[in-house]
Amino acid sequence: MSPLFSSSLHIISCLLSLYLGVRFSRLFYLSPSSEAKVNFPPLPLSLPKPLITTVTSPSTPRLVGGRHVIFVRPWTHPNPAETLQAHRILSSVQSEQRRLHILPRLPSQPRKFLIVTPTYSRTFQAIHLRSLAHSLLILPFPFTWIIVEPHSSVNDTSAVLAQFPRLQVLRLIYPGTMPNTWPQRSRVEAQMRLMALREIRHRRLDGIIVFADESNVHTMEFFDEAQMVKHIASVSVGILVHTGGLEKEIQETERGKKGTSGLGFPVIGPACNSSGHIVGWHSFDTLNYTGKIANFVGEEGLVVPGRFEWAGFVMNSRLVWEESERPDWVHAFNAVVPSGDEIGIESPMNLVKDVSFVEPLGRCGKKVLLWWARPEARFDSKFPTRWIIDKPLHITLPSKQDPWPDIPPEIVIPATPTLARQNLTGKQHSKTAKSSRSKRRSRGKRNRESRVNNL
Amino acid sequence: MASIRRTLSPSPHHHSPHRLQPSSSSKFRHQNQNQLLPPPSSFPFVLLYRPPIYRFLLFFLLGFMFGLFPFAHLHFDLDLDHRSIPFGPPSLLPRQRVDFHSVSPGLQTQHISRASRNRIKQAIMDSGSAVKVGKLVIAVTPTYNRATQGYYLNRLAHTLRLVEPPLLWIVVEGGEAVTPETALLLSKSGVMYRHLVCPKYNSTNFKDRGVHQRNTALEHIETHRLDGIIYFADDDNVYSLELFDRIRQIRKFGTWPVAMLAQGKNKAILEGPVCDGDRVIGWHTNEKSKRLRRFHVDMSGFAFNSTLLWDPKRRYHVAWNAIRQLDTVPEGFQETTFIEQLVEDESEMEAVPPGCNKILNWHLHLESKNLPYPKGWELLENLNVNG
Repeated sequence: MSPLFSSSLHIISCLLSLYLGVRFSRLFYLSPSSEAKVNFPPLPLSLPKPLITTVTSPSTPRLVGGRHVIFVRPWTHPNPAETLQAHRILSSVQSEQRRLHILPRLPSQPRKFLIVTPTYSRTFQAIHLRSLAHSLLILPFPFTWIIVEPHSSVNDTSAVLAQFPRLQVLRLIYPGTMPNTWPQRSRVEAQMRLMALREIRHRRLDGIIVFADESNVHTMEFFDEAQMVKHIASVSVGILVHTGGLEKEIQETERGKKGTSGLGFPVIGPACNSSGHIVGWHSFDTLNYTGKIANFVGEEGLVVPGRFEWAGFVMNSRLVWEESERPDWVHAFNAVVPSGDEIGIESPMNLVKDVSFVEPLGRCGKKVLLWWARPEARFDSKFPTRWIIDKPLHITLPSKQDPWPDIPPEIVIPATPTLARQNLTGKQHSKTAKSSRSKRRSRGKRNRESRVNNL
Repeated sequence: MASIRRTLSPSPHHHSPHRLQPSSSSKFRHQNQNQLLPPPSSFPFVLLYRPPIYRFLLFFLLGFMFGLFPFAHLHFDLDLDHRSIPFGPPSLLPRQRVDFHSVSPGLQTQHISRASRNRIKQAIMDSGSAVKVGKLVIAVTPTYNRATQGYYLNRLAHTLRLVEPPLLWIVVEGGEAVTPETALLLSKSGVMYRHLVCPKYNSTNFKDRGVHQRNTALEHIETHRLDGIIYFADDDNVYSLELFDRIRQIRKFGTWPVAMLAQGKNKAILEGPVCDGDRVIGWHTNEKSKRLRRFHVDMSGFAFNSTLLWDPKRRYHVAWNAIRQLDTVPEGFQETTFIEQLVEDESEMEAVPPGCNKILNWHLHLESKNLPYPKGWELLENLNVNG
């Protein structure tokens, strides 16, 4: 035996013992944790003391979290069946909480909502309409969704609504088209809402009218509060002014930064006096925001709301009925709303003779219950019809190109040391010719791999 | 000392009879046989005096230490809360109990009726007879306090509420502690959630926003061995309900094209896989500068089985470290570097849905960073009249 052979044997043995050490250590590590038994404390069924988290702010402790301790496991159970059980318990406890604490404040018989939404076909329609449909689907009250749209968008709207067969929808066709500029769009949307009001009047639909715009997001408290409306109510709307681009930031003036006493805050809502009575309106002050105000829909620039937003009003549908027992401080619908295309009223506020009769919701307007935002792509932007890709997308890079291209010829490499694949070099091939070839090749390769995996 | 030797030295023998096999065929054989002849009582000592055995033992110990290393970063790290895996919960919320009467006196008189109690008990009884349980979907959402948080999180919560259970929503908030605004919003959401905190979050650094937060969630999932499909659902995107049904069907790693939308853009950018049936045959992206990436998919365009995080048998890389998002890579490469840790190539990916011909979620670029807003969108004083 040569010494070379023996020393190599020695090295092999050393490596073997190294490997055994690694294996042994894993054995050593994993054994105690797998044996550990876990005992969960029993679920408390008494819904005992409320759980309240205080804020660290020195002045006012605020109520955060649920009213009761919902027993939470110290960690989530890894087993999906257990998780499903926890889901059921959670939902039953929450519905009991709701039964105890929310429902007594609401009318004993839940009132129906008439949700008015203008829409039209565009890039963001499916996105916004879908989001609103999701919010409505979890609504614990009966409702009819009244969608007003121009004739051209019927197919697109139907495609979205087809995914929510549970929704009860009343669709109205607006005779006209949606213009491309923001001022005209809001004008047409107002006409659409009036069209819905006329339909409600005509059909004598009974319920509470909510003006839910597609791109707004409502909290569930908003609908709880809206149940309590007697005639007409107003709620604070948070305005999310946005520019669209990440790089562009909103320029606030010094006045906007002050933000005390609700002056600088982007909120439209009822202004109350100290005794809790409505005295006027806080409207959105565009002076707080300098910068370019967008004119065309989807243009880069600030999108700002009007002085009043319809979304901030909730009203009883009986106010617009023909012969109704409406109070004398409400105008007759026909008197303020002309029959033609004219708008007549800027907001539902014009229906009342005296502001002081409007009911302020959300702790007298202090709590913002919904948010207004208008994210839109450019009015002429292209998108796949109904977001279905009919013909396969162009393959920018085939999968598992072998060798994988290291440096495409026309591009300078950024500093990405972690990504550089030094051992693979190759040219970037022409796209279309390459794609079919590489498809074949990668398929063959994959078949081989799958065969190997199956062994 | 002697006792240690006694315990350690037989183990290589016991575990690897074949390991000593080669040496017995070499010239050590004679020495071996000679040394093994003495009575069994002195057997371990004799072995230890032999230089090769010393070395083997040394290597064995080295390997032992080496083997501990990949677990070490997880459990012997700074985070002592996570170390005691099943014996204690991770500290989530610094909570404090306050007397209820002082805050909201109107409600304390309402006692739980017998009927309520029975209904909850009934629900618990019923839940024992579970029918067919689908795969758990784990949605990971990084968030932080800003003007648009209520808008985004409410929208996402409404969607998740409609998703068929079981679903777990892991919300990771950036900052030192959870904020009451987020906690309140989540508690009202009706979704089963976990509210975690990521202290590493850095609001000024825009590049790696969300990276540390997602890692916090991954660590949580890995520590508690949550078995489900992990999906990074950022709060500013819009998701269809169909997406979550599809995610549930994923076995290992699924990917799909995502529409990227931004205000002022004249075309919706699609990015993601191009598929032929179940298989991914290529990638589509419009941004030329990013062609260097291996996988062209958005952070919200893939989902994967959580066992990939901790089950070494299912992982492609026998990695010494855990699968995490890296904060060192430049923007735009985050997704691809993460996926490269999970799968080897496209053959391990599943097309969602087959053919990848549907857009199931939309990535939106919309942020209003410096918008002033009242804390929690709740004003302390009445609004004033200005209009």
